[in-house]
Amino acid sequence: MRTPAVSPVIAWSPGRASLQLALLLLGLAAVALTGLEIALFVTGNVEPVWAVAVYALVGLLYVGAGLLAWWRRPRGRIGALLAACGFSVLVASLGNTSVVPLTVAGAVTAELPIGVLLHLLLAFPTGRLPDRRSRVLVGAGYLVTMGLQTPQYLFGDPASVPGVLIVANRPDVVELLMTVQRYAGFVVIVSAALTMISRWRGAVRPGRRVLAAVSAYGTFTILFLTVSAIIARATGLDPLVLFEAQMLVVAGVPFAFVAGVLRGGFARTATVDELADWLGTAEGARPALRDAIAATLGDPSVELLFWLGDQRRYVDAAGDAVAPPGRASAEVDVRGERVGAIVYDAGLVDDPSIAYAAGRVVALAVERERLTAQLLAGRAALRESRARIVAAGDQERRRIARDLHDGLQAHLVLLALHAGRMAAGPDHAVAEQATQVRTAAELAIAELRRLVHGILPALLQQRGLYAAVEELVDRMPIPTRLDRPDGDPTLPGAVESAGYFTVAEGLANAVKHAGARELRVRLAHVGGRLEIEVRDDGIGGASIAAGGGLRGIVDRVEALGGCCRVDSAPGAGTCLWAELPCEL
Amino acid sequence: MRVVIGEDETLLRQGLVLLLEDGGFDVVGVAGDADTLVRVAASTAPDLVLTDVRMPPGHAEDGLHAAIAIRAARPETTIMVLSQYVHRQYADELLAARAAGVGYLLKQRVADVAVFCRDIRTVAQGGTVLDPEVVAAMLSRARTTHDALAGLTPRQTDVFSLVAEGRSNAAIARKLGISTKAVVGHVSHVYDHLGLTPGEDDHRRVLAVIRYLTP
Repeated sequence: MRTPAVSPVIAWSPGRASLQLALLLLGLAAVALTGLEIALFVTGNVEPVWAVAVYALVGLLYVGAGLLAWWRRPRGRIGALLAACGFSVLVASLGNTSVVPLTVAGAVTAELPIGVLLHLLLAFPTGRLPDRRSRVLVGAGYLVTMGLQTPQYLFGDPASVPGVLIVANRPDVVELLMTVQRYAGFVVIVSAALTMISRWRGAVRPGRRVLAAVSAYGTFTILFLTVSAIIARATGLDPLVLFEAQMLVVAGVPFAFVAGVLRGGFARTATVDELADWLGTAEGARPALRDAIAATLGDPSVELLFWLGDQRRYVDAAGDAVAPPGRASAEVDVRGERVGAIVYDAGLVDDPSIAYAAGRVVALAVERERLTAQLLAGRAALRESRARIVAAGDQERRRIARDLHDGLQAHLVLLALHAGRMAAGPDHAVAEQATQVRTAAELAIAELRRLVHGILPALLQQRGLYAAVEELVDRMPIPTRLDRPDGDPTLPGAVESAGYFTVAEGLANAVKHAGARELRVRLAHVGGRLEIEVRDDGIGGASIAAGGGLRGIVDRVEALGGCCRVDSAPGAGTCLWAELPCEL
Repeated sequence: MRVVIGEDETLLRQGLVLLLEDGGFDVVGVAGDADTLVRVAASTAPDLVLTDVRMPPGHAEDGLHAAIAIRAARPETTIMVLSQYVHRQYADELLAARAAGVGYLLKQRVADVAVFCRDIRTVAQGGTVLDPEVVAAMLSRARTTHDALAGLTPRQTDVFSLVAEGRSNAAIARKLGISTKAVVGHVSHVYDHLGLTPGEDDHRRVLAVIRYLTP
């Protein structure tokens, strides 16, 4: 039987079929037992018959939910525990019949369901008790529900319990030990609730949230059972009303579990064999390696990291650097060399050896994906280094422009001023020479201004890209239309420079080579990207391959992670288009 | 004529003081940064404020903002703004409130002492003096928005540019190598073409700049 809706990794296997058969039989047995009990309630004139029938049906509900969880997570024990809880209810229910050997079994196990429920919650979600504290609590739970129950049927009133086990009628002993049972039970349950709360606090990772909710409901349930019994006793509440309320809450537990199963908290686990089958599947048809491992481990949060040995760091499939695993992880080795790691949630994957086994099965596949990740990481590093070089170059341009502006230009102006004042003096010969000096200084200033403008336009520094492009357009000898966004946002320096030089190059080419009559410049900021377009109605035929300025523009734009294109069919004009990533 | 100077380069500031005093101006205050300039202008109430654009504390457009603020506080103050680069956008901002009594020149123009002093006087008397570079940029932009300007002949455009630069008819005549009479003719054609009503010549010059060169 294929279950593609759950995970494509899972395929039919003989072991699974026999498990299914066993679960089916167990389910049928539970149904039969419930049916038998209800028949006995009706024939035995138990009052009220609906209440005891409901109790038995709740037990059946637990069994059903348990078998479902068992099937979805065959390696985990939680399904078995849930089913056991259901069976304990069914056995305790026997106490409501009037057939003597059955009532004895019922009397002995009357409180057992609470012990199993406690066990279930503390073992949630893997089915194993994770620490000593929870093991002690579960032991204490069984002691309270089974051990402290004995006085009831050994020293109880023959009118209310089956007489066969009674050794003496000692209401005082019963009363005393029942009080001990109540308070001991209360202490155990409150401690268990505190354990659960501390265990699930901060469980915010996806995949754990649902489990935490299920667990919270279970914790609430056992607290409610204990506290409601104490309150009912103190207030003299009608036992039937108490029973109704308790059943309502208790019956919710299997629903909570089923909801958890369906919401993906219990991802259906595949076996490691199935992972091996996955490796044999044609590559195009199989799901991603990480997903296959996630399905095998039953942990949707699985991450697959790749180890770059020479750089001693982990990267993800895209080659981006990631922090070393912060949670449980299993290293994946090929011939003794680390190639990656499977990072998983220890709360969901109870047995680390499964993660290692999965790692061994897919090691070669991991190695191959690692090579891809390594290439991608190298490419990313190269891109970053190019961007850094461009940014450094740009910063250097800014520094040079500023130094020339504040230093040399200012000195030359001072020189021209002095020469000008001398030229205005009374001595004619001096004046003539001073005028020559002044004129030379003015030429030098103009030359320097052009030079600095070429390095980095002052307006680009002062007011940013849009204003600087506006100035470029102002100075065009050909009618040029500019579409630009409003305002003068501060963009990263390297992006502004790249954008400016792109427009400048596009305009210069149009004037020099295109024979254009009209130009259009468009700047737009869309979705974190700066878009630049310079379009003319000239002769076309421009290309990046022809080298020159356009090649430099393309290099600059691509180094910043952008892209650049020239559309220039002969006779159809030229459009230089560039896009640069930049957040406003 | 009372002048306040804003310039952060000490030597250049001293040079400007000497230049203006030689030219017969009365320098009543100097400032090395934009904040001081605003304060000095407020306390001395000069006829004209001469300032560099790039000034402390921001080393950006501080001088420009100071000039605009001074004029906003005391509209009769005329301003002459100098800069190593001239931008049409800055000119638009300077002329935005009132074009009369505004000058905007490249810094190197101070070296032609006689012309510079005359430009200062033109501005102080309510005229408008703009650097040829900035007039070219303004004209180029204005031609795409005002059809009337696009209709001027090349010679009329030259004359109009020189008018915007603050040149007198005699200076325009010298520059273009034509008679003053011919310049007067061109100027009145330009006025007619632009539909400027007859009136005082200086006033019409300023009006032409405001109406046709600023956005």
